[in-house]
Amino acid sequence: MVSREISIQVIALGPVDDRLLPIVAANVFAVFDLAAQVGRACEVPQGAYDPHRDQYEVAALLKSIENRRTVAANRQAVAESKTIAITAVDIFVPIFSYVYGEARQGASTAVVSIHRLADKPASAADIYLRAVKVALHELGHLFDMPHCEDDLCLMHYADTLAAIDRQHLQFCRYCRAELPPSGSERLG
Amino acid sequence: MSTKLRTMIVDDEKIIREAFLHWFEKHGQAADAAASGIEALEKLASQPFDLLFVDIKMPGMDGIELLGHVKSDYPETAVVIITAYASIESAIKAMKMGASDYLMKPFRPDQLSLVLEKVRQQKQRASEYDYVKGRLEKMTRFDNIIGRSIPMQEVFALIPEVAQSDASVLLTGETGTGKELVAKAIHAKSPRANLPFIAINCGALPESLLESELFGHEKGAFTHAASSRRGFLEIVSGGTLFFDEVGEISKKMQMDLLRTLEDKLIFRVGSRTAVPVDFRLVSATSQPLDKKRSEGSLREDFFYRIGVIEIKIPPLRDRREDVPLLVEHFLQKYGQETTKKVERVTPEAVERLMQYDWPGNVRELQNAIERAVVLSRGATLRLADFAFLTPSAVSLPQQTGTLRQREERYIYAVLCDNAWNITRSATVLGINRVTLHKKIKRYGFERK
Repeated sequence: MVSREISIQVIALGPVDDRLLPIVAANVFAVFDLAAQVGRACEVPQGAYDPHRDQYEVAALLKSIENRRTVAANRQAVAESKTIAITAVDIFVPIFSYVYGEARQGASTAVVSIHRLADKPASAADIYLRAVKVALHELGHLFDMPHCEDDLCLMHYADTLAAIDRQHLQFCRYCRAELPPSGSERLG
Repeated sequence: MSTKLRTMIVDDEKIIREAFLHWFEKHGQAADAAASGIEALEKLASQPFDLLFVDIKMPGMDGIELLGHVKSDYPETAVVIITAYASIESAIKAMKMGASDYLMKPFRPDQLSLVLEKVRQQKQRASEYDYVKGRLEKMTRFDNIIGRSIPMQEVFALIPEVAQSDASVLLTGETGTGKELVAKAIHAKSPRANLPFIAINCGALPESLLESELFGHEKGAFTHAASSRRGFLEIVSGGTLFFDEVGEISKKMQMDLLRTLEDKLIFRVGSRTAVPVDFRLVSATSQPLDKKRSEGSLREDFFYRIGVIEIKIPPLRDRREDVPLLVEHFLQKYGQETTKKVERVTPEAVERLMQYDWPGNVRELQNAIERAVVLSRGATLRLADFAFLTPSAVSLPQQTGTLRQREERYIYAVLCDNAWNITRSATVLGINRVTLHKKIKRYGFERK
């Protein structure tokens, strides 16, 4: 049986605190047991900007990142790759006034915004921790994991900063069963 | 894990529908979408939905109009109105029309969770209410037969079971216990429910008339038979026949009915042509049929044929805990039928009614309530309103204790029974009025 190679990249979408990307990548490894690399940054596409809302529309951001990925993926011939894009701009989807992060189920790209993670007074460490939780949550969606009712689980739909802060930095045992095969498992 | 709601998003904008659908997909629940009110109604007609998110502003049928249709035709479907246009008037209108909530897009992510949780809790409360209400109705009322006592619960449990088969049922019980009501309930629960239910009081008709009523007759079969006539055995055409006081049927008629039950054929009086019939038989008797069998007036084979299943309806004195429910039921019934506004019965009066033995069973209780309501002077029925109940049918509260204790209880019961009328009570007790006054003083009785 051929084991599938899973490649995970963490990239900056526009200017982002440099320290954050390797922190996210390290936590992907810690929680998913999957190696994650910090990839090449890309710019925030201005076509995604909505002047009425003064925010960037997620679908347009994802499309831009996807287009760049396809070219790179074709070159690397990787079986499965996921990208987590971290941005400092404020992002939205049409029905919500804002989102902390967004990913489609089973897709290849997620976007995480740290714009509103500092809304509640917090230290830099708190903001990083929140960003990590949102990133791991969205990565869970990329692996087709749905929301979880357990409010301590990373897959819980954390719709406020208080909810994010309440989450543990791990999945509940039910969601853990849905994680993709870890790096050590694939190596046998 | 909480229950997922079957949800549909109704919005003419594709990006809105897709945004909702993606969110529900991440939430692990399937959702549907419609681009218009018409499309939403078409989908509702083909499958149920728990919750609709409906945009107010849509071409053609707008959200308010759709809300009206949903609340009218699918009242259990919750509707949350969403709109990009803040309008207090439309919000108030929507809520008054029964919308569960009103969201202005774009809304905060936590607002969607809150709305879903609110609708989920509403549905849970509604379903708990329906469950409790259903249980309560099942406990207290079965197709107009009322009772929460164990004997009645046993009867209720039997009804749907016997209803499904065509086996003959024999209902036994004293007069006034509701045998016909039980027969109707069996019919209503049976596959024959949409067909006629015909009740015949076998004890009220002379044999010749009963024969003609059941089997029908041909023109000229007897004097005054001016035309042919179908009997109830034909008319019932697949329904249920209820023979009340079946023990009163003559031996000749028993034989004819036995043949009918075996062959499913009848001959009208005066006819040689067999007519096929189809019916289910439920019989009732207030007389002990064993005695009639031993006397020879009831054929053994007929007895076994009519009573494949026997259901005993308990007398009211064996289910006294049902008296308050019955009292309430009849109070409501006669409150509606008369102009009297009688709304309650005092606890003392209810207690009194529970102690009474009701030789005439539920029918007697019904008559008692009707009489009390008609003659009442206020909105509340009191002990005195039931003074007409026969004293000898009062069950003494307890049959234990010393002679003095028994005397005390009995005198008190008679006083209550006679509405504290000293002359009447003394007559019943067989003592003079002075002696009764002394006893009242000795036992410290006080009129409540």
